Order: sequence, then C-alpha cells, then structure tokens
Amino acid sequence: MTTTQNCLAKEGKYLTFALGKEDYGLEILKVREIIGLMNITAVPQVPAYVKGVINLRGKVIPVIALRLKFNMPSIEMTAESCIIVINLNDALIGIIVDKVNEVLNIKQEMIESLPNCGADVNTDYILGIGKIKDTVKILLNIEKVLSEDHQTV
Amino acid sequence: MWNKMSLAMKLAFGFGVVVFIAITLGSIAVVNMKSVQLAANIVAKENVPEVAVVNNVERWSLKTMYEMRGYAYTEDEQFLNHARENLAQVKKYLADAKAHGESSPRLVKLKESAEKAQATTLQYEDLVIQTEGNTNELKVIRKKAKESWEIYIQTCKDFIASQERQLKGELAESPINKDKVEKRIQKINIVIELRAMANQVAIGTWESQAERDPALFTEAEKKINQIYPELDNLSALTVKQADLDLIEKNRNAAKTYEEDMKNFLNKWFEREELNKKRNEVANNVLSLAKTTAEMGIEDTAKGAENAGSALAGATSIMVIGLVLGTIIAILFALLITIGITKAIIKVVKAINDGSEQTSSAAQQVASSSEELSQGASEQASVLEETSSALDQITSMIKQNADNALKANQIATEAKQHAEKGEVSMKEMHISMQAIGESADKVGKIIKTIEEIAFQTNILALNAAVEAARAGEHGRGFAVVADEVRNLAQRASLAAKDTQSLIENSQIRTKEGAEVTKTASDALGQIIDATKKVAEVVNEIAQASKEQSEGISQVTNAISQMDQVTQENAASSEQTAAASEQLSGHAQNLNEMVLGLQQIITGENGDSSAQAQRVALKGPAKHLGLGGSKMKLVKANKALKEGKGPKVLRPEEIIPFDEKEGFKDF
Repeated sequence: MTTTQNCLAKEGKYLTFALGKEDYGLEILKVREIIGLMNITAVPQVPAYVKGVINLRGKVIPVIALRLKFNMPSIEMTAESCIIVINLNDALIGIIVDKVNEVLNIKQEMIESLPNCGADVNTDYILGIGKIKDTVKILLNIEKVLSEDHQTV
Repeated sequence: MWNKMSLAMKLAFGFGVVVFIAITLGSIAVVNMKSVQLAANIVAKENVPEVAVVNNVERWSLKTMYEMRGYAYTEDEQFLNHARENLAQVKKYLADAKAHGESSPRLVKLKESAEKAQATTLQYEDLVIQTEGNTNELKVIRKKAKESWEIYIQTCKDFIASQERQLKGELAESPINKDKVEKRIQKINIVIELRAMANQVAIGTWESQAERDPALFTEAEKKINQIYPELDNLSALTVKQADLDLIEKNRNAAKTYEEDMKNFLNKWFEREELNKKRNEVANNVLSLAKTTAEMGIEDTAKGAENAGSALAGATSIMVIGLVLGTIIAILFALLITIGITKAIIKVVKAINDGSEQTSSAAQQVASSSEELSQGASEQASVLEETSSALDQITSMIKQNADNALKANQIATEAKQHAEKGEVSMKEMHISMQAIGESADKVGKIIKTIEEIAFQTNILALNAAVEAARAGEHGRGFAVVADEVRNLAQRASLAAKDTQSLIENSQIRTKEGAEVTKTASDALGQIIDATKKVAEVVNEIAQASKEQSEGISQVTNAISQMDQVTQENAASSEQTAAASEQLSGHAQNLNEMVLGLQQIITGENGDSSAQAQRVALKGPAKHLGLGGSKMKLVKANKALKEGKGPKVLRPEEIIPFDEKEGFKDF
C-alpha cells in the first residue's frame, strides 16, 4: 500500500531538467533556487558522486552529481549545466544537472504510477511518470534520492 | 662425311691428297737422287780421279820405261833426259795419288799402293842412275876399245907398209930372193889375216851390240884369242926389231882390246842385269798401277752400279707412285667434277629461272614506265594547279600577317585589362579580410547575447520557482516569468541562428579570399600568357613573312618540278624502250643458258629445263603482266617483303650440303 501512496504523485508544478536524453521532474516547492555553475571546493573522504561544497551567499552547501548518483557516465560540464539548490528538511543541498528545462504544471490525470519492473528493483525514489504530450518525465522523490547522502554529509 | 663437305673443302681435300702424293714421290725421288748423287760423287771425286791419277802414273811409268829402254839401246842422252822428266812426272802423280789416297778413308789401298810405288820408284831412280853410270862406263870402255882397236889396226897398217916397203926393196934386188919374198908375202898375209880377224872381231862386237846378243860378243872374243898364235907366228918370222916392236905393240893393243872387250862384256851383262831389274821394278810399278787402276775402275763400276740400282729403285717407286697418284687424282677429279657439274647444272637452271623472271619483270617495267609517263603528265597538270593554289596561299599569308598584327594589338589591350583586374582583385582580397574580421567580432557579440539569454532564462525559472512558492499570489508573477523565459529562449535561438549565419559568412569569406587569390594568380598567368601570345603573334608575323618568301621559293621549285616531270615523262618512255630491250636480252640470256646447259650436260634440248620454263610462266603471269596499277604495286610489295612466288636463296640453288649431291657416286 505504501507503494501505491508513493507512486501517486500530487498534481502541481514541477521543475523539469535533463540528464542525458531523459527528462526528470522535481516538485517545485522542494526547489530553493537555480544557479549557474560556480567554483566547487572538493571535500576529501566522501563518495565519488559528492563533488564538494559551494559558498552560496555565505551559506556552505554540499553539491552532488546526480549522474554519478544514478550510476550514469560522467560528462564534462557544459554552458547549460546548472546547480539546482534543494530545500531538504530545512537543509540546503545542490544537485548538478545537464540542463534546466522549465516549470510545468502537471495535472493528476497526466501522472501514472511506474509499471512493475520486478520485485527486486527498488523504485522508491520515483514518484511517478508524467506524460506531457508525447514525452515522458520521471518525477523524482528527491528526499528519497538524497536521504542517505544528507545523513553522510 | 664427303657429302657434308663444302665444295672448297672437297677441292682442297682432293688437291691436298694429290699434292701429298706428289710430295711423297718427290721426297722419295730426292732421297734416292741424294744417294745416287752421293755414289756419283764418290765415283767422280774419288774413283775417277784415282783411276786417272793411276793411269797417269802408269802412262808416265811406261813412258819412262820406254825412254829408259831407248836410252839403254841408243845411249842417247836425250832419252835419259826424257826418262828423267817422265820419272819426275811419275813421282808427281804418285804424290798426287798418295794425297788423293789420304783424302778419303775409302782409298786406303790407293794410298798403300802409292807408297809402295813411291818406294819402287826410288829404287828405279837408283837403277836409272846406275844405268847412266853403266852406260858412261860402257862408253868409256868402248872408246878405249876403239882406241886399242885403232892402234891395233894402225900397227897392222904400219907393219904392212914396212913389209911392203921391204918387199919392194927385195923385189928390186936382183936376183930376187925368192925365199925372202915369200916370207915377206907370208908375213903380209898374216898381217892381213890379223887385220881381217880384228875386223871380224870388231864386226862381231858391233854385230853383237847391234843384235843385242852377248853370245856373238863371246865368239868375237874367242876370235881375239886366235890372233895371238898368228902374232906368235908373225913374230917368229920377223927379225927386224922395228917390226918386232910393232908386233909387240899390236899384241898389246890386242890384249888391251881383249880386256876392254871383257870389261865391256861385263858391263854389258851388268847393264842387261840392270835393264832386267829396272824392268822388273818398272813392272812392279806398272802392276801396282794396273791393279790400283783396276780397283779404281771396279769401285767406279760398283759406284755406278749402285747409282744405277738406286736409280732403278727410284724409277720403280716413281712409276708405282705415279700410277697410284694418277688413279687417286682421277678418282678425286671424277668426284669433284660430278659435284661441280651437278651444282652448275642447278645454277644454270636457277639462272634460267632468273632470266625468265627478268623477262617478265622487264615487261612489267615497260608497262609500269608507260603508266609512269601518264602519271608524269598528270603530275604536270597537278603542278599547275599547285602553282595557282600557291598564289592563293601567298595572299592568305599576307592576310595572316595583318591579322597577326591586329592580334598583337588585341593581346596588348587584354594584357592591360588583366592588369587592372589583378589590382581590383588585390583590393577585393583586402576587403574580404576586413569582412572576416568584422564577422569574428559579431560572433563574439553573439556569444555575449547568448550568455545573457541563458542568465535570463535561469532568472525566469527562479522567478517561476518563487512564484510557485508564493502560491495564488504568485500566479501573475509566474506568467510574467514564463514570458520572460520565452523571450530569453527566443533571444537565445536568434543568437544561435545569427551565430550559424555568421559562421557561414566567415566560411564564405574564406572561400572568397581563396577564390580571389586563385583569380589573382589566374590573372597573373593571363598577363604572362598575353605576353607570350604577343611574342607568338610577332613570331607568327615574321613566320608569315618567311613563309611568303618560302612560298616564292616553292613556286620556283614547282616550276623546276614541272620541268623535271616533263623530263621524267621523256625518260620513262626511254625506260619503256630499254625494258623492251632488256626483255630481248633476257631471252638471249635464256638461249645462252640453254647452250651452257647443253655444253655441261651434253644433251640436246634439256626437257626438264623446258618444263621448268613452262612452269615458271604461271607465276610470271600472276605477277600482273599488263594488270592494273594496284596489282603491280601489290606484286612489288610482295617481292620486297620476300613473299614473292620465286625468291630463291642460294642454298636452294646450290645444294652443297644435300645428300643427293653425290648419291649416285
């Protein structure tokens, strides 16, 4: 039952971004702000996907490469690469994405749960799939994605 | 092997064999002649001189003997002198004989004989001296005897005279004393008897000397002994002292005479002995000379016989060799003659063929020279046309020269234009570069615009986030943010399009610059080319001039050619005539060849040659006798390429290496 609850994402506004060819969605209320790339200070003794920390207007926040977190191949930063600062349980954390697309208003009927991919596959961090026109957006449960990371940081 | 030999080799081999035989015979003859010569030499240089010298010895010995005998008989000094001279000759020849005997080992006997003869001659000489001595003694004795005899005769005469005187006195007395007178007459008679006896003795001695009979001499001597009793008688009768003295004187004279007679006889015997000895010695010499001469003659005969036998042997060898050599020479002559005759017959056949071919060829030459004559006249007309064409060409060449001048002007103008174009091209290149630079600048500006659009997009998204957070209150703001974002995106798109356009224009500018450069280079080349064109055109102008000169020369040449062509026509007619003559000659040659064939084969009218000639007429006709020009040309070509129907190689004519050459030999 929990799976159902998790699968059914709420309708509302989502910030969409791209990692490779796939588009992902993020609840807009979780987003604090979007910034361009800036100097990242590397931190020792952390997992590879933790790129380091940045100084955002006096606040030091960790930055995570979402590609590495999702076990995707690393690529060079582009001019379009951005850092999305997320408000996670009153703490701020930055994720690096390939490109920020837009803010979409997704209605309930546009959302579907993830089809069953097998018992062994952990799909907790996906809220659902948003269908916009012919494309598909993966709606992420960012808290689940980053929960362990946050604790380690 | 004989068949494989060449003719020269065969000839050389045949002659070589004959020469070898001749040399062999010659050398045998030379060797034999040498031996004969040797024998003859021995005969001539040893035996004949031996015989000659021995003969001389014999002759002079005989002469000496005769002279000596003469001397012995006549006691003439002249004979002795001659004998001495002859003896000197004998000695001389003996010395010669000895020298000759020493000159050769074969003449040892001669030498020995000569030495013996020399010794004997010395003996003889000694005997001659003895003889001379003896003769002189004899002469002395004879003289003495004569004197004694004369004394005797004188005393007798004196006695007779005194008796006669006394007789006359007694006769005058009267009376005549008969007794006394008778005594006196008796005495006279005795004296006369004595004188007669003395005369008889003298006659006997002379007779014996004349007769060479010592017996007569002994008889005469005996008669002297009869004188003494008479003298005793006479002295008994005589009383007168004077007469007794006379008688005594007479007796003495008779005794002396007797002694002389005895001496003479002794000497005479001595001389006889000497004569005997001398004769013996001389006979020794003579016999030696004779035997030696006989030996010499025998040797000569032997030598001559040897030479004769050697000559006979040589003659028989020569005869056998000559017969063999002649047979071999005849064999080779037959072989070679047959070979040569066969070859020559083949050659004659080939010549026959050749003359046939020559005849047909001559006919062809005749027809072709007629055609040549026609061709020459055609050529003449063509040459006239050529001449007129050349005039046209001359005018065209002048036009060409004018055109070349014009072309030169045009080329100069083109060159100037091209230079202007090159300058413009350089300017354009500079402009292009400027365009490229400004495009670079525009690209930078566009990048800036793109960045601004990106930032604006992020700002709009942030605004949307803020608006969403504001909820219902932020709805209007969200719309604005969306619009701003749209604008930002449009700006970005426009910037991207501009970027691509600018990049395109940059590429184009670069291409343009390259094209300009290429064009500039091309223009430079055009300028160079125009220069060259100007030069070439100049050359063309000059060449045209030279051409016009050349054409005038060509015109001259053509007129000469015209003449030559006419001469050609004339000479081709002559050629036609000459080829007809050639044909006649070829036929003559044919007949001569037939004659030659008859001479060689000895046959009359060779049928095979006739047949061959008939066979030859086929291809001759085939060669196009009186055919078209094309046929003739083809035939000539075929002949030149060696494909003609009758091109014979010498090996085919003369089969020196073929086996059939001497098959029936």
